[in-house]
Amino acid sequence: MPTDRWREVERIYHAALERDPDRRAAFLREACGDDEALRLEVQSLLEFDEPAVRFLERPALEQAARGLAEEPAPHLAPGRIAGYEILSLVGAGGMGEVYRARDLRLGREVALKVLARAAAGGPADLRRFEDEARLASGLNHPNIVTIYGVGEAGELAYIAMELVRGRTLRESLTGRALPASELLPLSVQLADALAAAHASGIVHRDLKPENVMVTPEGRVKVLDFGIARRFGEADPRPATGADVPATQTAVGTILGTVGYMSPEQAAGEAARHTSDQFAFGIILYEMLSGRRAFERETKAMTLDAIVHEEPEPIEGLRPEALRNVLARCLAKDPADRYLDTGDLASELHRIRGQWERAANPAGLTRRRAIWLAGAAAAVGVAYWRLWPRDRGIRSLAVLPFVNALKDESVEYVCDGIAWSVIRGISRLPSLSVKPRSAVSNFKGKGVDPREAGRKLAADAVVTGTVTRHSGRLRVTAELMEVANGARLWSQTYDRAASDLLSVQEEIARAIVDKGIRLRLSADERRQLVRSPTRDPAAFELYLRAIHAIEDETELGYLGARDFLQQAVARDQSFALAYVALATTHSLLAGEGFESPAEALPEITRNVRRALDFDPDLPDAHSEAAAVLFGYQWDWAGSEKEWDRAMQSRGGGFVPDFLAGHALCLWALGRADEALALSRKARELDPLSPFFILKEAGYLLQTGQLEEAAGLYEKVIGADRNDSRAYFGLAEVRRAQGRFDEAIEAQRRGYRAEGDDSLAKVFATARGIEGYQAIEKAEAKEQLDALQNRRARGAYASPLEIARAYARLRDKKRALDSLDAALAERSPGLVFLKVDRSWDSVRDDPRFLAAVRRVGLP
Amino acid sequence: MNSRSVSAAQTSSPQVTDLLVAWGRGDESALERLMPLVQRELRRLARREMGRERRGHTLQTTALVNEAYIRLIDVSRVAWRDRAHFFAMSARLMRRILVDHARSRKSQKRGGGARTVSFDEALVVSGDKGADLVALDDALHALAAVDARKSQVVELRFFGGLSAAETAEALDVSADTVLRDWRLAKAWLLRELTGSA
Repeated sequence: MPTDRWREVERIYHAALERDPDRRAAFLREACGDDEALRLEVQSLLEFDEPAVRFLERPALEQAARGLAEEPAPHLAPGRIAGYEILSLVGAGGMGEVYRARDLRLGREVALKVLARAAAGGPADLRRFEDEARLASGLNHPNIVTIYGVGEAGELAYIAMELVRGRTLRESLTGRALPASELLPLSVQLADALAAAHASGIVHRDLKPENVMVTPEGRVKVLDFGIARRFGEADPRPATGADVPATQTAVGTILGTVGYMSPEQAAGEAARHTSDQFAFGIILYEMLSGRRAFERETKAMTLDAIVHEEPEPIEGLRPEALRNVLARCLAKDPADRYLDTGDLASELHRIRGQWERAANPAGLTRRRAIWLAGAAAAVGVAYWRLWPRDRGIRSLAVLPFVNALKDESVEYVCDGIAWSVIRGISRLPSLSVKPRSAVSNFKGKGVDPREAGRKLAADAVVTGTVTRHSGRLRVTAELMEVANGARLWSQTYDRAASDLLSVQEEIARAIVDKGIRLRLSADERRQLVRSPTRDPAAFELYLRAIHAIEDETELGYLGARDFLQQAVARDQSFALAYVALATTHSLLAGEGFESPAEALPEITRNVRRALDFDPDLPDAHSEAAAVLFGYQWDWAGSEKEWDRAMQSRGGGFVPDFLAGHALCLWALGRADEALALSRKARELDPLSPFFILKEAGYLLQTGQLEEAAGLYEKVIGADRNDSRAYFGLAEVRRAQGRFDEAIEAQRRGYRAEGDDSLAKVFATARGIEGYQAIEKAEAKEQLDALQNRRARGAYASPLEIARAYARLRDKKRALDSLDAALAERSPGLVFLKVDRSWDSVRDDPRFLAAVRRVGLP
Repeated sequence: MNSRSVSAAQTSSPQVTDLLVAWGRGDESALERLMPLVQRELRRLARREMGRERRGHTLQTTALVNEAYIRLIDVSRVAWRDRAHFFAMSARLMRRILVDHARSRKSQKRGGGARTVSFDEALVVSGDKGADLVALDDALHALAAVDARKSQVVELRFFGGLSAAETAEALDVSADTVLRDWRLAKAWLLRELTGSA
């Protein structure tokens, strides 16, 4: 209870404040009379009035939030829990806290999701949650966050899972419609993840943008498969009357995730795979329109809209084909949605394919490859295109199997089966199997097998089809003799997707035994029946990886990497998968998507493992050659590995090895030898434009300009949309000083790619200045792209940045970035001497020092 | 990742509500069990709010506190006498949590714990004076002995994040009175903390 004296202090204090500051002293003396203690008390308080103006004005929590936000929960201060070392707090997930942690047993970093056991419910709930998590941990898909394990430690329950860098889709959706170029890859990956989970009988049940991670590279990783709901379901109860069903338990809570619920869930029914499709539809709607399909003011109204209302149609939706997908996913009756989520994924793949072809008919990577003037990108591309074959008494061409129903989900099987058969048969020294690069020219074209055989100079041709029927794969294969069109053998296989390994083995054996009736030595038979792996699931993962790599995109490589890691986890003696893993990292680093520091250990380790299990594997030796050349700068060592690759059983004269080897020789300034090797490659595979373009490139380098122009024209003659040839031709015309023709060739190249980004520059470009303006605009475009990459947290190669600056004649920045590239030993440094991008800094002492450092002759 | 309903379901439990009711009846041991639960929820919310702040929003303290409570407590099961009581409870609980937190941080620092985040740094409550929460709490107890209502005004506004109008409602006085109390209390506390009475 305030004393009377305090009342007096208070009264005089406020009265004094009403007076001007310079009159307060007089007022106090008057008000307090001779009570000096009272006067001093009020006086001292008044002295603090001004200083206290800002004191306590920002609430404690606001201040504390900063500290609270950065602090790990007290029970998880840095330390150890159940075999994990807690490193740092990653964030507060929907279901508890998430920490970055190290798995002390396996040495890898993981994300550890932790929650108090009390929050998971009673012991039965916890057991159920663990069962679910274990079920989900069986899911292996590059677009699903992998669950490593679950467990309990004292008062805590935890899930260890793949650590994903990036942000949630929620954070990516900023209330605007996403452009098709962003939206399609995201939705395709999301649908792939759902399809894979549903195929394993796992339903997500709580799909929403908060549960979808997007990495800086644009990869989708779906979180909390099959467990999200379990966590939230501490007290599952049926909906009754006005009660709000499903995940809500607290009264008066703010709008939560009901916005992504399906009508059947809203009615209290169990979620099924079609419910996930509905949630997917809502997410797709949001990506397309920038708004939520059913968001209303209150939760109850939202639920009502989900059950009864059709979403507002989206104006100007692009691509238009998505409207139908949207309508099916958002159908109120689950029976009207997709019977099989694989069909939804297929449909989206098809739409993306169409859109990409329309937007970019020749494929971006083509221009990129030539535009990089044969530098880093080409290393990887060249090295990848290699599959061993051999010569023998007869020659055989295995054409890519035909995707008869244009079903995107079996695309990987079509190429994979053919290539595996090629690989198997080409181990036989007595049979010549046409190079994969050569038969690839017939992919996706409805060719007459005999005509293809004649073009490939093969005695016999293997063709096949792949279709999917109610979850099973049907593979047909047939062997035809080219000379007379006789069918030597044919067979249909009806198998589960997980049984592809046996199919390719049986086809290879049947072709040899029943088709060609080749008599094999005991050793040859051993070679033929030698399986790349004993694990059918690992083989399927491998096929998927190979298909993903063929995409020649960053996402493709990253997807392949995940598939391959899973493949070698299943079969630790799977040599082919190890070498493909090495190649994947080689491509990622070579194209500037991954830092050498991350890539190099992966490449060397996986090459070594591949050779441990198959010392003759030609690809492993060519990959070793590439590492020695591009990273170790060991020219002689690289040369030895190239020789070894050529001599390996089943290697033979592989055009791709020759192209890779030629590239190394060119980098060393030995363009004449590069040309000779390139010619040899084209003799072996006269059909692939790739080798013609390579040869033309070296003709250009050795000053045989008209010959080079002739080859480029030849490629254009065969395919008017091959932009690589136009860009090569432009280089020739530039070297000849015929700048207007060079500009014209550039213009056609851009047109072939459907790229009109430089239309303005082209409109006025004339002569040498015009040509330089185009090059400058290109370099600017590349620099912007690299800086964007860096800005969003993805790796951007300092070497590529240096090149762009060099092309823009910004010497200082070019040389600074070049130093950074040297520090990380960027694999593209070996092209310093031959790549004309560096011309603007070529005479600078710092550049010369860099060349010496790499040891280029 | 602010899946509100899920974490509400996760943390909202009869336990929390019962504990709060018990504490409201004066059972101090209930508070001991209540605080870790509220702390965790607050920490989660604070992190989310920090994320928003980085994107250009400022912290909405009242909303934060209210949300924490709404998510933690099955409000319908608690016979809150009125809104005012609810405000008062939440401010007091917040004070206990934050002060306890500050106290434990101080003792950790004295114990030489190698923590990098300094809670005290984050708690520069005045523009120029680095008053710490533990000392402020002591000063508030002292102020309560002189004038309980002024101590409450500070508790509600500073710890509860309430506006002057909400504080007035909670204390059943006029907003003008709250502002006068607030001004004097701040001067009194600052003098107390500066140690130059």
